[in-house]
Amino acid sequence: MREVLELDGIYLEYDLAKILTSIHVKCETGQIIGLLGRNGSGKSSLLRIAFGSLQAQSKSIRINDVPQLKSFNRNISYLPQQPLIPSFISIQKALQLFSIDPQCILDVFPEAKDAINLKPDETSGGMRKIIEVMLILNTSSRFSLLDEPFSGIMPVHVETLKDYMRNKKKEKGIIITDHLYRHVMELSDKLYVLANGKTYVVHDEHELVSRGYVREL
Amino acid sequence: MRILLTFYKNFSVVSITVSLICCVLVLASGSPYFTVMAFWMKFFSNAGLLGYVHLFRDDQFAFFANLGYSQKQLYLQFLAIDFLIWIVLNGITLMLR
Repeated sequence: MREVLELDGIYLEYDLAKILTSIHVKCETGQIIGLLGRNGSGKSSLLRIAFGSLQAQSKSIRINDVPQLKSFNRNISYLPQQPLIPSFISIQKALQLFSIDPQCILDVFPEAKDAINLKPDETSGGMRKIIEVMLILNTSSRFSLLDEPFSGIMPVHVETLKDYMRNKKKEKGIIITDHLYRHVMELSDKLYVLANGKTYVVHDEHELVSRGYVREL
Repeated sequence: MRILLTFYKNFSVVSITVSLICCVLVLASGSPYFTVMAFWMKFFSNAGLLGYVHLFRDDQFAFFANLGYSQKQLYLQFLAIDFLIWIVLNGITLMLR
C-alpha cells in the first residue's frame, strides 16, 4: 500500500523575517522528491520542521492524512547536513543501536569495511557521509529526509548511492535536497524549488533559471 | 535502555567524578548533614553539564532523535540515571562513615 507524507500550512519566521510561508510538499512511498533552492531559502529548516527538530509557528505534517503530532515517532528519519553519528560512538555501535546489519552497507560499499570498526572522526569525511546516508536509508522509517547527502562524496560513490536510493524507494519515500542539482534532478520523480518562502513544482528545468537557482542549464 | 546508557556514557566520566567528590566530601566532613551540600553540588554541576551540552554539543541530538528520543527525554533520563548512581554512592558512603 502506498503511503503519503504531506507537508503544508508551515509558517516559519525568524526575527520578523519570513522564511517559510506557503509550503506544500507531497511525497509518496515509491517516490524520490527533490527540493532545490538558493542558500538560505529554508530547505534545511523545512526538513527539520518535518522531522520535528525545529518548531515552526504553524505546521501540518501528515502521513496518510493522520497528523504527526508527536515528534521523532520513527515514521520519518532525517539526515542533517552536519555529521549525524556522535564522535563518541563507534560506527559499529551506531549501526547496532539502529539494529542495522553492517553487511547491508558492505554489500554496496565494500571499501567501508575498515571504517565500520572506527569512530566517525577517525574515518574520511566522504566515507562517514556514505555510512550515515546508508544508515538513514536502512532505518525502519517510511520516509527519509536527506539534507545534502552527496556533499563530500566522490563521483563514483555518488552514482552508487543514487542506484541504492532508486532501489530503496521501493519501500520508502525519500525527500532529498542538495546543491549538486543535476544529481537531484536525475533522481527525482518530482521536483520542487523553494523560493521566497514558497514551494513551486518544477515542470520544466528552465524554471530553475527563472527562479534564480541556476544561471543557465 | 541501551540508547540512554550510550547517551549517559558520553558524560559519565565528568558526572561520576563529581559524584565521587561528593562522597569524599561527606566522608571527610564526618557529618551526614554534609550530604545536603553534596546534593546541591551535584545539582549545580549537572545543570552546568546539561547547559554545556545544550549550547555547544547539540549536534548529536539528530542521531538520538532518529532513534525516537527528544532532547527533553534524554536530559530527564540522564538526570534519573545520574541521581540514581549518586544516591547509591552516597548510601554506601554513609554506611562506611
